[in-house]
Amino acid sequence: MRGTQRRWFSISFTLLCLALTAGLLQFVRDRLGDESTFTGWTLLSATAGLYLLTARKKMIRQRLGPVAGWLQMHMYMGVFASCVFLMHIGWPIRGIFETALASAFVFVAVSGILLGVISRTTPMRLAAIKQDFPYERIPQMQLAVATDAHEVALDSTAFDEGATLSEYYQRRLLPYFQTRRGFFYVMFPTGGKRRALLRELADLDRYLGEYGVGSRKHLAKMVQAKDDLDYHQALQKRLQLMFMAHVALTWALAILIGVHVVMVYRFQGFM
Amino acid sequence: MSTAVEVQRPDRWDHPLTDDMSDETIAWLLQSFPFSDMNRERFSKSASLEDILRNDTRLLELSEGDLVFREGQYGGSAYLVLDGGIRIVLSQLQLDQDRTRKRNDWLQQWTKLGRGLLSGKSWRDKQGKRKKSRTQSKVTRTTKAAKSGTRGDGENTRIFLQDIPGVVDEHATSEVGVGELFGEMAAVTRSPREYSAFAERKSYVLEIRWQGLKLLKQDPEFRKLLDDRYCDRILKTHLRETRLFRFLPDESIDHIVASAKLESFGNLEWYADYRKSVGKDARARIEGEPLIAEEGSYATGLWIIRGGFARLSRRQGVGHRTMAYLGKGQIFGLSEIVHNCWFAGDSPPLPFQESLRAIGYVDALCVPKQVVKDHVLPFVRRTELPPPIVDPRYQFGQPVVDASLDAATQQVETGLLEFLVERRLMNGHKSMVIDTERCTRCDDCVTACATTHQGTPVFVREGPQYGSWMFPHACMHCEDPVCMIGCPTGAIHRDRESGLVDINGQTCIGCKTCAESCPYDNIRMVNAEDCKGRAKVDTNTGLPILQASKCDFCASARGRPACQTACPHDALFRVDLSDLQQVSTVLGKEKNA
Repeated sequence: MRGTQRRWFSISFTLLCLALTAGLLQFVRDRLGDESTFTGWTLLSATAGLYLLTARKKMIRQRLGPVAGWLQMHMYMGVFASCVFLMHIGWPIRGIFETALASAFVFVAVSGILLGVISRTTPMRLAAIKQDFPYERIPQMQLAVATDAHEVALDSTAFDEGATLSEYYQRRLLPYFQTRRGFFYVMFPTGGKRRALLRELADLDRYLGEYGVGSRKHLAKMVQAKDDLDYHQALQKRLQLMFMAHVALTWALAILIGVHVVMVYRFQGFM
Repeated sequence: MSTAVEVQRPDRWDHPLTDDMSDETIAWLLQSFPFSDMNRERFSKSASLEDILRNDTRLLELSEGDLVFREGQYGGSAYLVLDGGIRIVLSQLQLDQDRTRKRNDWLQQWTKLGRGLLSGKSWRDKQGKRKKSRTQSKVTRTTKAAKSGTRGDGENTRIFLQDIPGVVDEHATSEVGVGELFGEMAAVTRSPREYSAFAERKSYVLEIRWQGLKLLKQDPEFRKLLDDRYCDRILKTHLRETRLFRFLPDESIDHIVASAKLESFGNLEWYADYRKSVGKDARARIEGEPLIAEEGSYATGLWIIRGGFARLSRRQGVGHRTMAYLGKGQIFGLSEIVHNCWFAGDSPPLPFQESLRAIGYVDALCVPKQVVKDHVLPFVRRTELPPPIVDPRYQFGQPVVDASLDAATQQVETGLLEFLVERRLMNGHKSMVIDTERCTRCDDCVTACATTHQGTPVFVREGPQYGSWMFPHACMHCEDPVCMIGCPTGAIHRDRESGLVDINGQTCIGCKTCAESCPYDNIRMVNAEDCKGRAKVDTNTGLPILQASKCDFCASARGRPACQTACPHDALFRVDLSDLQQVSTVLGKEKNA
């Protein structure tokens, strides 16, 4: 099945399931049945289905189909579960526990959607950089770039062309090369800093001699290289953080759901 | 607790082909042709003729009808007939067992159908397969399936033909008599068998593995035996299997055999030259490639590629532009010859419009123009022939017209073609490709690979990149696996059925030859471990014992490899880069919808 065909099939199937659930809910409602139990168990089943992706990822040796297929199923089931969740909750939500449970569900759903979006957009942004950097090797590469830049700056003082470049390096570039980018950059990486530094470096040309201009150009390349590395690191880290947040919230939600089910049945006198 | 275990460092002949070669058998073989005619002094003391026979050969006792090998299978051995008679089947031999197997496959297809919906099997796979089956359509004639049976068990199981006269009547066959060799071309060129062979009567055959064959070729008489055999028989088989020649009568084939010239270009062990050329200017590199036919020169013959890859290029400005690469069985120069023979009329003949250069090593056959005109073209369907050249770039006495850079007429964009050829990636039969525009760098592929290979991944998620396509360092199961050339024990070998390149951990002696020969750095040396996961160290030196490690395509687990199934975003897939059609479909301009 081609990508688009599969997408249409999945969307149609999800809508069909939702229509079926809504129809059954109406049926239960018309017969004055227990709507909450019906939607609750449907939601519980759908949520349990979402955990199948994690299980599949752990079972590498078993031939259970490609993970990509399971991820698709996870995403559409997530949409289904979110809609059933809206059918299930009573408005307004009362009580601390119920609020916490609903919030956990919303956070999981939102983080899932965000994860889905950034896992589609991040690869394209990463691929825009000519070279691919493996995440675990980025710190090593950053260090190499910083060392190289330091040597270029030191060498520039050896020629009798003044200390402009080395002074600028110490004041502006040293912190850039030797410090990590902040959390805000990790979340929203931009090229603002690189552009500013490159502009400032280009402005130094009027004070530099022939050798100094050469060193300046080399430093500009280093600035670009460091920015590429930072950009790759930030995007990959953001994706990892988002994934970790989604997984952590998922397990928190599982615990809350368990408690919720026990409480519901205790209130109903079944336990 | 000890984390290492001391063992004796493995040696070249620790695992002979068989343990059954007795002194009497070897003495008898040494008195038989061709070994009796060999000069034993030509062999070194460490690999004497006796040693080669003891370790690299085995005696096969075949009953009437026993199949030695079948067309399409891979094998690293040649066979020498010692007694009896072997018949080779030149046309495709179908067995009744295949049909039964096909019927059973239908059941599996139905069960797969349900899984398909969930599987997310990308359209890439299917497109690739469909195209491949179209491009690989072989010359086959519908024949009755031969009745067959099996005898023996375990490793000694043999398929045998029940109706030998029927097979001989139905197929084009040829006999191999006592003292003659067969099956050596597939072993030497690391390519699939081009015919099937079976014992016509009770026969004794000596199987010689490729490593032994290489050593035996030190003897000039033996080398001559191989060459004569090629001209006598193999060439005919090869021509029969070429699509263009499929309707040719026997007399025409004989004419072609008599006049065709087999030429080799480049070095069979091309990886050394390739390593030296890395980093050189592209123009200098192309100009350094052996020229098979040059654009603008007389179209004197038709070139058929027998092995290796050739670059089809055009001069563009002061450089060369790659138009395509040709692999085994592909033809060069047909358009010009057809044009000159049929459409040129009174106008002067056209020269070659493109150049053909050997990438690494090429075995090519040149059929003279006159022979093509008299013995080939009359037997080829008009619809299969190329159209006349309307707008030639080269005409004798006319200025050369520089072609437009517009790639619309090309199957694959020039940049990608140049990239694949420069890095010799077109050799890859099952190349791993990662779409970096889909890959989230989650490393699930590496984790899955490590899980299925005792904790050590057998590929690296890094490698050359063209645009968004990354070609990681994972074994490509090459069309021409040069890693196999130097292996002294035959540990690195092709699987007989699938053609996948695999390493036998038992016979690998850790000599690093394969790792150093692999032009793509896709083989790594790792510490050898025993079954308990303890590192093996040499008893004498205390140094770790190494073993070659590479992607085995998860051959032991059926289905797609673990890395591919584990990718949550369908970013990792395999492509046959030797098939330009598949490259165009999967990596071409149109990206996945």
